[in-house]
Amino acid sequence: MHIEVRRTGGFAGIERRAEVDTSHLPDAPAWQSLVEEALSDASADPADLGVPDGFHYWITVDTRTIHCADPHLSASQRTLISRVLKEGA
Amino acid sequence: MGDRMMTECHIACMNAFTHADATAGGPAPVFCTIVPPHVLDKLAQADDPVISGPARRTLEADSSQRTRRRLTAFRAAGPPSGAEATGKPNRTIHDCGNGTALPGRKVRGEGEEPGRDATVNRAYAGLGATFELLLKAYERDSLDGAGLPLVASVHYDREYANAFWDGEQMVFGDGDGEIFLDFTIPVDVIGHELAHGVTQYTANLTYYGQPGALNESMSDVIGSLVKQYTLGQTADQADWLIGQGLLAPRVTGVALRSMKAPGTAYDDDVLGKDPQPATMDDYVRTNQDNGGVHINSGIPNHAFYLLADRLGGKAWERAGRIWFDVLTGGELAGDADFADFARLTVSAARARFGDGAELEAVVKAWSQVGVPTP
Repeated sequence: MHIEVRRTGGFAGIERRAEVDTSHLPDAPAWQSLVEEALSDASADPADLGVPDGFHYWITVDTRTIHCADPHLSASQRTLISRVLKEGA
Repeated sequence: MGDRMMTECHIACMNAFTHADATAGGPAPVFCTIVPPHVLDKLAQADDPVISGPARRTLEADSSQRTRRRLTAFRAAGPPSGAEATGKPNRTIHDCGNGTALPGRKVRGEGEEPGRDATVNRAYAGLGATFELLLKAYERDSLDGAGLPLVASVHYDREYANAFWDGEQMVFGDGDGEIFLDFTIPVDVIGHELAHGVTQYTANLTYYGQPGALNESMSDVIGSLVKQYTLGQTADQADWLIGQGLLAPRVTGVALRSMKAPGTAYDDDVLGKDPQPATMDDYVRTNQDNGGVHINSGIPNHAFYLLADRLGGKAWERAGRIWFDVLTGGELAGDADFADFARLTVSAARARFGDGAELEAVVKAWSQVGVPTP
């Protein structure tokens, strides 16, 4: 499973991007369930302009992309975004 | 780590630059980076994979970016919350304790003594400074003109490198410590966020494209004026920077934006280069960042600087007055573009100051950034 997180906007207006391929990871099942939960929470309107200076996130898992924006993230979306953006740093 | 393939990317990216030199990396890429290609080439050859990985990836032009037309307006301004107009601030600071539940635990109310947390104290003082500018310079009682209580939350999330206005309150992160420090440090950032509240209660500029860039610019203008007012500076003494003090020492840059010289605030191997244009010739067409709201705001920002610089003296007195009159005057439409806004500043200058130096300076400022005011 290939996961990419793109974070755009924010006060600085600077984009950040990170990705992870879970295929051969020992904790791949944990990633899988986190991803399933995060994607199932995808109720956000993709045309949502968000809040002024708020971050926007595009989470792409293999071929599917969802959009969400601060501060209205589900707990699993926040955890997934944070993990992908942080790990490997 | 095994086969783990992971890249950590602080590399700043955006798409559809109008600059020809940003199209290197493939035929007609729609996704480019604000890091110049020559810098990326250098980074891609770095020994440290943390640096070379993202740079290499960024060089591989990504054309998967979808075109997004997002035209729904930001939530309409709600009615004043019933607070009485007193001409005095009513501040409350909350501490999120590095969680994300808003507003968090109340840690300081209006009139309470400073505590040990410098972040809380800065937020409280910054809210007060912004309230004072609005009241003293523009006779406006808080964000809504009717004494709206000012609410801010600090220590939002962990290593959260941002601050935002959520429609009801301000939210500040502590920064990641690597690139961004605490977002309460620059008073202009606090003023910027509160100004989003003023805009929401007045023109309610749509947060996308040119009206979005105007929304951003109004926040930068008011944010900078809060700093200048607090320091008692004249236009020639001001630094005209947004976010001075926010960047960590390792970053090559002085701030996030410069109203005096858009595009020069930072030029860093990790953060990239400040992408702001100063004039319409360099207007950036993009669908990133809500259509470049933090990028093209450089153009009206620079027009304001040019006006204030030409008029001299305290920028909030005449230049700021004209901008504020337009924002709150009721004629600025939610979907206004730069030309609409510029035209209204000409009318406002005439209405407020007559056919004098102010009017001439307004026309000249817009002309210099390439926005006509017929």
